[in-house]
This record gives sequence, structure tokens and C-alpha cells, in this order.
Amino acid sequence: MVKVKAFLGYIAAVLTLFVVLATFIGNDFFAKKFVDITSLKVSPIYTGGELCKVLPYDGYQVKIHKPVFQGLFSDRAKGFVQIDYEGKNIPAIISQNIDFDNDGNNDFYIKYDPKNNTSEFKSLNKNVVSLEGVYKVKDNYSARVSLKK
Amino acid sequence: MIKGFILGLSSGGYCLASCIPVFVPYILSEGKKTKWNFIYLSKFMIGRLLGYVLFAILAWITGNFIIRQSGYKETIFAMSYIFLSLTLIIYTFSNSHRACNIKYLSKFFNYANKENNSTTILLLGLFTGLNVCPPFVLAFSDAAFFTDILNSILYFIAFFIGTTIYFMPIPFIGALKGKQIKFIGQMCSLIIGIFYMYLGILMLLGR
Amino acid sequence: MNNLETNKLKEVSKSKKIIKSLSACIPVILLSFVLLTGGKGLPKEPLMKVSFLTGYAFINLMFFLMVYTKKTYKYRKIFFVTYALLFVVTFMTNLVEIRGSIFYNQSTFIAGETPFCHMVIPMIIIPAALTKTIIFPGSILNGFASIASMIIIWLGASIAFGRGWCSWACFYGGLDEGCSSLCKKQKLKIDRKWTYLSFAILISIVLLSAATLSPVYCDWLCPFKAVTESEQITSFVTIIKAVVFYSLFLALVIILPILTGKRTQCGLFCPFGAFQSFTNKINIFEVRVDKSKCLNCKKCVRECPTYSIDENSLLNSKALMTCTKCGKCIDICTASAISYHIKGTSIGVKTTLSRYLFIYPAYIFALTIGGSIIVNGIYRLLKLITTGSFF
Repeated sequence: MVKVKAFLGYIAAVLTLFVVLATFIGNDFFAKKFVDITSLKVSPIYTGGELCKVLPYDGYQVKIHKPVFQGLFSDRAKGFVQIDYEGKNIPAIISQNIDFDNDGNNDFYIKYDPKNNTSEFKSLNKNVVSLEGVYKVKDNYSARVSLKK
Repeated sequence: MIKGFILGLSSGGYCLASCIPVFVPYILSEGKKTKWNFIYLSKFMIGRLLGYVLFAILAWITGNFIIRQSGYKETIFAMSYIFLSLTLIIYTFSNSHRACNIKYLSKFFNYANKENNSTTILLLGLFTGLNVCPPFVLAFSDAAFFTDILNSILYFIAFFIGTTIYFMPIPFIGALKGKQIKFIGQMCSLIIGIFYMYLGILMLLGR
Repeated sequence: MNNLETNKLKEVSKSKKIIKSLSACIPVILLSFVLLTGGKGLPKEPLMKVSFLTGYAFINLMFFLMVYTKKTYKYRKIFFVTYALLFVVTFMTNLVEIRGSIFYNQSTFIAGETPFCHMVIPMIIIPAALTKTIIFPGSILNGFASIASMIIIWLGASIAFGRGWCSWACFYGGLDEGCSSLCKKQKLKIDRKWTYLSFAILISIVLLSAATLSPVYCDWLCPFKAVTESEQITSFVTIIKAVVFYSLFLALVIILPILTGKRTQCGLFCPFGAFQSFTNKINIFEVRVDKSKCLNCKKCVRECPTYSIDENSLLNSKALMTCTKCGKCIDICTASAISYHIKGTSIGVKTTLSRYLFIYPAYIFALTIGGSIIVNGIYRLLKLITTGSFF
């Protein structure tokens, strides 16, 4: 029994070297497998949530995400919705009404001047609280609007 | 009442997430056996229930007498967090077997029995009970519209029963012994106390 | 035998020892070349070539000295400290090159460009289990230090050497290890009960991160924000955070290690270290004391950098679960009673074999994760010297 334990111990110790090599050589493979098995994604709190709809305009597009109320067990009372402005011809001043919940009614009005970093915001829905901020992400802009349930 | 119970069941896990940072350090730092931890759990639950009952009364008053102003709610939660954090921080530096100093709660103040520190755990439960979570806010909204105050209270008692089910495993943490576990629990109390104090101050400043 | 013959014999024996040690290093010499070049051959740019060759020589020299002198701690420490210092240089210069700044803000989070750090791992477990999402603003698969690739590296290290991560792989550990070696005389003694503070921090940040769905340690407590990346100072709260980060770094990574001669950040504060201690339970390697040889001088108890040996553990002939397998106790023991040990085998038997079976994978891991950082760090420094700029 003692000899068997020792033998197994030495085998495990030798295998450690292969574990180390596999960790780095097979890193891409194992990483993809890990994601496939666990189906893990980055939290929508950081990514902005799933895409709900894309509004094409001349030279740019407006991407509206689904509202994010992520909580540990259930949705939180406060959340946000993210609007992305992407493209080469984003207007010098962004100004529009947004309907993020597809009910046919505008939920808020946003006006943003990237040059001066000034913004105007008007809530048109009782669940829309305020403009959290407009952020420059590479060459595009993302606006986050606070919501409540 | 069933709606209150169901809301409690749906929020129980969330309540656990907000209560465990408060309760686990206390359990660990007391270092007691499982039987004692059930007793502590019961006292903690009574504190939470008291918090819920107070909230039920508040909901009823808000709905029936006071025009709802968001400032009051925020201030109450902010004060609740600040007091909770103070309780945790004070507990970290106090000897848990010393008799409690809060004189006007004389029912719980007993020189003869130095093991009785009900006040601390009741306070912890009370202030955790005043914690906001989505089903809790829903329950508040519901209870505010009862015209009879007894209905508001019963609604929150049902809510409380729903949440209680999730707390059963906690006393078993007490099975872990040793001065080390107690020290870890005290340090946790301090860290979490500082965090809740920060949240309370931010809320009070309106951020 | 006269003196001349004795000297000649000594020289022959020394040459034999060098050849024997070199032969033992051949696998590492070859593997390190393949792993550092990625199988692509030497870099073409002259400065990068020089950096590569310097780094490659340094890495293999340290391993050779480890084998030749049979001392693990000293040369592992030189490698580890160099790796940590050059990590700071590499990381910060890379960030400035890619992002334009070492500071991050909400834009950085939305872009999903934050490199994933192993310190986050304990905090993401509960939210990942319950929400199937990772509460970290990084990329799952793409880019530098993606979440999945870092998790695989951590898993591999945990299986291979448990909390040995803290002395062989962690890119921060070398900073406080370096400072702990600056002063030979211990000027301050810290009660060992404070080693449990790291466990308290671990429990607190795991619970608070689950409650807030954000990595609380990174947001508020990580001392290494001072030398990597931190939040742009735009408000009172971010000022407070910066004060906390810099104060913790000064205290735990510089001042206390100098005064105590111990790795205070790693031993007393780091929650990842506390978390990683549990992986020592599943790891095949451990540090054991041969009671039949032990003189009970307690030098190992006094000298352990992470407070991982105490009188109780000595009685049980082993180190505590917080042992980082740094090798210091093994090297300083005058009775050679302490050794790397493979679970299941007899204590004090075939210690040389056990040592080699440990240091091979441990050093290969260290050079793979640290080698390119060392090479890039040397490159940046040479660029600064030759052109006046890191870029």
C-alpha cells in the first residue's frame, strides 16, 4: 500500500510537468472549451446588455441595447439602458428621441455635443431617471441612461 | 398575504446576499456550537422581523398620511446603513461577553448573565431588515395601499416568513471552531462595517 | 596526495559538477527557447534580439545556479523580483501604447479592454454561479489577458503547485519580496495572528462582490493599482480610492516588508493568497520536515517570509497551508531536515528527486508566464536608454 501510494505520488509529480506545458501550449483550446462548457459571458453591467435594435442612418447607426437590471438572484430596482452611436459619419451634435422599449412612445430625448462634452437630457417616461453619462469608446460614443422599475 | 409570502420567497436569496455579510461575521466571531447559532439566528430573525414590522408601519403611514417624498426613504436607508456599520465596527472592538451598554433597552440588559448580548444581534437584524431589495420595494408599495395598518403588518410578516427559509443553513457555520475563526469574523465585521458606512454616507449625500 | 593533485582533483570534480548541472538544465534551455519565441525563431529587430538574448540568458542562468548550488530560494527570488519589476515597466508602457493612459474610466469598461487579473478570481465565483456572467469589464476570449485564458492559467498553476503561485508565478509578489530583502535586521515584529486578516478580507470581498456585482477588492483595496492601472481621478470618491491604493502600497509592499523582513502584502493582506491556500490541499507537492533530523532550532519559524511555519506545524512536521513553496526554509535549515515532498512518499527519502520534480514544472511555469514580460521589460528599458523614450 505504501509502495502503491509512493508510485502514484511520483506519477502525479511527473504529470505536473505535462499539466504546466498543456496550460500554455493548449491555452487557446482550453479557454474556448471552458467558455463552451460554462457558457459564461461578461456581465451586461459592463457590456451594456444584449442588442435590442439597430437604427441605420446616413453614415452611422444607433444601437439600442436591452435595459439592464442585473441583480444576484433577481432584477434590481435600478438599472440602465445603453445607446451606442457607431460609424464614420456620426453627426457633430447628437440629438434625438429614443424609444428603447418598443412601445411606440419616445422614452427620452438626448442631445450631446462631443466637442464641448456637453449634454442635454429630457425624460419622457416615468421609469427613465437621468443621463448617467456619454462615453467615447474608440471612435464611437455610448450613452447610458439610468432607469428604475 | 400570499403575495407577501411569495415575494418573500422570491427575495429570500437576495436577503441572504445582503444579510450574510452582516450575519456570518457575527456567527463566526462568536465561535459557538450549532445549538447556540440557532439561538443567535432566531434573535437575528426577530431583529429582522422587527425591521419589517417597522417598515410595514412606515409603508402604511406613507401611503395614508404622508405625501411620498423620495428624500425620506433615502435618508432612512442611509441612516440605517450608517447605524448598521457603526454596530459592526463597535462589535469588532468590543468583548462580546461583556454586558450591553444600551441602558434604555433594560429588558435585554442583564448583569447576571454575561452571555446575554441580545441587543447587538437584535440591532444587527433590525438594521439589516431595513435593507432595500426589489421585492422589498414592491412589498413596500403594496403595503402602503392597505387602509388597515394590521394588514400592512401581516403582509410584511408573510414576506418575512418567505425569506426565513433561506437562513436555515447559517447556524452550521458555527461548527467551525478556533480562535482563528473568531478573529477572522471580527476582521470581517470591521471591513464590512466600513463598507456599509461608506454606502450610508454616499446615500446621505445623495450620490 | 600533495596540494597540486588535490587542487586538480577539485577542479575535475567542479567541472564534472558543472557539466552535470548543465545537462540537467538542457530541457529547460530548449523548452524556454521554444516557449519564449512561440516557435517563430529569434526576433528580427536588433534591439528586441538583444533583449531576447539577455532575458533568455538571465532566465537560464538562474535555473542553472539553482541546480548547480542546490539552493532554490536565492535564485528563485532574483528571478521573481526581476520579473515583478519588469512587469510594472511592461504593463504600464503597454497600456500607454494601446490606450494612451494608465488610467481607466467607464469608456474602458464598455470597450471591454481591461486585462483580467488573477486577483479577481475569488470575487467572480458566486456571481458566475448564480448569474452565469463574469463581473469584470474584460474580454472573455480575445485580446491581452482575456478572462478565459487567465482562468486556465490559474487552474493549471493550482493543479501543478497550489499556493506555489505566490512564489513562482504571481507578477506582484516579487515587489514585496524584493523590499523584504532590503534590510537584513528585523526592526519590527508582527503577531502571526494577523495572517488571518487575509482570510477575513477574502470572505468580505467575496460576499460584498456578490452583493454589489462588482469586484470590490479591485475597486477599493488593491495596493498594486499604484503600479499598474487605476481609475481616472474625476471625483472625491476616486481621490479617496487613490489615497487608499497608494497608502496600502507604501505600507504593505514597501515599508512593512523593509521593517519586518517578511512578505507582508502576500502573507497578511492578499485575499487571493488566502484563497490559493486551499489549493495546497489538492496539490501533490508540499514542504515537510524530517523530525529525525530536525534540531528544533526554529530558524525556519523565524525566517519564513509568509509566516507559514509555526511551532505547531513543526510538531506535525509540515508547513501550514499558507506555504508558498518559496524554498527559504529548505535552504536555511542547517540540518537539511526540510525538503520539497511528494504526497504519498516517505518523508526525508529521495529529497533530491522530489526537489527536481518540483522545480522543473515550477520554473517552466515561471519562465513561460514571466519570460516574455522580462524580455519586453528589458526591451523597454533599452529603448529608454538608447532613444530617451519607452516607445
